[in-house]
Amino acid sequence: MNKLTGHIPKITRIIPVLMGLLFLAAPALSAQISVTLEAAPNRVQVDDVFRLTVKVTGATSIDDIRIAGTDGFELGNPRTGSQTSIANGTITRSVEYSYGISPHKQGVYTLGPATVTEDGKTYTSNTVRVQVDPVEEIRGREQDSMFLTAEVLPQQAYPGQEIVCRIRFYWNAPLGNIQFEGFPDIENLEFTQIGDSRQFQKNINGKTFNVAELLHAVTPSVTGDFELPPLSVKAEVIKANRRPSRFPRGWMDDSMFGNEERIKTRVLSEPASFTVKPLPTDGQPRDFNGLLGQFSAAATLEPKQVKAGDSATLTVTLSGRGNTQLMPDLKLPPIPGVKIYPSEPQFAETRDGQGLFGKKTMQWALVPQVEGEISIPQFSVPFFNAASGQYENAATREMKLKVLPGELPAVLPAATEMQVATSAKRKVQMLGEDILKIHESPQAVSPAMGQTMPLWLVVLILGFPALPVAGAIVLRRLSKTRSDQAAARASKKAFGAFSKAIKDLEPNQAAEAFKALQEYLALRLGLEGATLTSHEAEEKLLALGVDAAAVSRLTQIFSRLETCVFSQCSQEFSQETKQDLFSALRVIDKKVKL
Amino acid sequence: MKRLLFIIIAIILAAPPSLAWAGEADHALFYAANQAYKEGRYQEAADQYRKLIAKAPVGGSVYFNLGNAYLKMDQVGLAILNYEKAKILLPRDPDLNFNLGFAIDKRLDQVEPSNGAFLSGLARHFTGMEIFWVIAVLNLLLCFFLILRLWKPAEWNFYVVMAVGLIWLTAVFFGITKWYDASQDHRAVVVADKIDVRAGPGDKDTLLFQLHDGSPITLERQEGQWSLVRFSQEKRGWTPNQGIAAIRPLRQQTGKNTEA
Repeated sequence: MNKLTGHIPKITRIIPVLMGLLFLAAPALSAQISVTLEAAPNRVQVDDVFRLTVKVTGATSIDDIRIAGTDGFELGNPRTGSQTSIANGTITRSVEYSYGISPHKQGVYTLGPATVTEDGKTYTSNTVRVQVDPVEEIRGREQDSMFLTAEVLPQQAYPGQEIVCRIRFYWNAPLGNIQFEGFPDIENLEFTQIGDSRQFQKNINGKTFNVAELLHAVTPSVTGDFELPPLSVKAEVIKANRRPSRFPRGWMDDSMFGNEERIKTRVLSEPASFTVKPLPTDGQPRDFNGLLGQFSAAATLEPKQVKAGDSATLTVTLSGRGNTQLMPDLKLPPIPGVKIYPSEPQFAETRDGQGLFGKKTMQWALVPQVEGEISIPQFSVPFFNAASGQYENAATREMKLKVLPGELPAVLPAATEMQVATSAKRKVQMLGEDILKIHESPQAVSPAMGQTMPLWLVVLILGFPALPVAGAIVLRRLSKTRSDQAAARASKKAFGAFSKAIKDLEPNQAAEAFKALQEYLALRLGLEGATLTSHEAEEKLLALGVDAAAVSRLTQIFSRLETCVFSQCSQEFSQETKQDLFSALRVIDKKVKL
Repeated sequence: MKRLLFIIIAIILAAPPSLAWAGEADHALFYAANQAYKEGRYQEAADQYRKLIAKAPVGGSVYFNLGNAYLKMDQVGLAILNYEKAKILLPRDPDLNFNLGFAIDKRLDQVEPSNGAFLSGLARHFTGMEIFWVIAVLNLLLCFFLILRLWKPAEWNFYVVMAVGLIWLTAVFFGITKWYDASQDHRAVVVADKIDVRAGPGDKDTLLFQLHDGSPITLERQEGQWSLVRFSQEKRGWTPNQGIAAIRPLRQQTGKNTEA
């Protein structure tokens, strides 16, 4: 509580500051006043109640509003809404006056303009076109409190043609959270929503229904019979809660106090079907590119009379409704005696209640070089008119450009470009269009080196360098094997040499016997020059897989000789030791394979 | 070793079809075709270029000239087809790229942009032979340094072998990409004024869409006189074979020229 009261002085300080800022900003209020008129939807039936909205932007006080063309319509009192926006330091205020309006006769009507008077000045809006259809019979549905309809218009189409799926949700019970659940994925059909949903009122057999209308463009890509499955809308039915309230009836009967109940419901439409027919092949123009819809072409030439060397601008506009993305870029064929400078085609596409509208504008600067009369050929774009079911042409008329003698000789634009370039940079313009010349060099005939080389030659060229590498590896292997074999042979001869050295030794020559044994083992184990101890010899022999008993016998003798040599004994190398040594070494010599 | 080297060089030199150069007759035909082109007899020029192509392997410039002759006769599809064939052999030729762009501008159908693979796009900037010769030279260098290292192992040649080996591996990978791209290249061009693309290989099947001269397509499959073609991800269908031509037909992939 303290915290809240602590804020109050701050807020009271801020409010005058904000007021001051608004006061200061008042001169920045947009002085531009504009008035727009909008009808939603713009296609209704007799006795439907739709919205006609006048939006006034930039006005501070409005004295009077009048809407022309509303005779024969029942016009209700307006609902008013205002909006203030600030953009780039400019405050813009707009006021909307929304009227419920109901037609009593069928036909096509032009409503507006709306005229707004402010401080004696009058401002005028655009006009809107509204089509009023006769009442469509919706039999038996007036008993339902809500229902959904889906229809495809027209029911016969061609591939690529955009048709309209109109979904209408009718209700006359209190509802909330109304949501369309969308279209299922259907192969070869593309759906695009057209605008936002529109709401109006409709009288069905004496009952007034609210109607929410949603339009979707449906584009089939193949021929055949199609059926849209039932579409669905989710909504919440609002019901007053009947439980007793502590408050008098009518007090706080809203959701905030839990005195209403919301029941979720789902409403389905009937399936809607349509047929997509193939485009007729009879009478199809040769240059027809699939353009479908209703298109027109217009051409203007300004000025129609120029001096030689001066330029005239030819503008061709192709516009219409349909698959506008297929509207071609028109090409102006060469005209003798005229230099042609094309501009980039400009394309604009908009979508309104009637569908997709496209406009492509192409411009050429024409610079005649000689006097006389020049014919500008007509442009013709074939398209298929789905409404009439026939191929038609959007064509311009042929035009004449009168060229008077120039006061100065016709100056080549290229030269002009060069003169201008010294003072200011300008984009260099293409003066003509053509391909670059042929290649004439004699080498052009010959294929590139190895262009058609057979596979075996490719393998040979890539594999050839590997041959010396393989050869070098083989040579190295052979050389190593040879040296290993020589070492092995020497090792095998070692036993003979050892026997010979030991044979005539006296018992007091233990040191010589020890040395001979060391040399033998070093040779035999491939460790030439090494001085092995008994322990090292034992380890190496066991590692080579020699019988452990034989190794043990040898190690004992080796160890004894070792001890004798290092303790300088005199009587250790007896005949019996010699025999033992020989028998142990014979076993070892057979087992060691080096 | 010297004997082996001698034998290999002899084999390479004894393979005239593989490294053939154009003869006098080919040059005469080429000059005659060029002359016809310059004098505005484009059909005659095209016939002679085609004869030259059918006769022996030729350079990409002959396809380029043939494309020019077709474009002069306003046959956009055949022009694009031959420019694309020339691009396989002369991928970075500026004249070719200019004229191909010009021909593409003249075609009627709006082509939806496709997301080509980066490596394939890069591989198309080089000819198969350019990549082959780079690999061959790197191969030679790598083997030389490997032998050197076998006989004289040293730290410097270890690093040289590693560096050359890495470049060699990259080049081989690029070569494989190029080979794969060429083997999977099923691009084709519409060479008739207009073709009908249907839901099946028969005149009675539903007409799905129509394509015009010069539109690029991808050949997916052939069944008799019909081909399954793809214009974009959403636009596929069957069309008779006579209205389309493959840029790299099977025959050309094996090293022979094709007529167009």
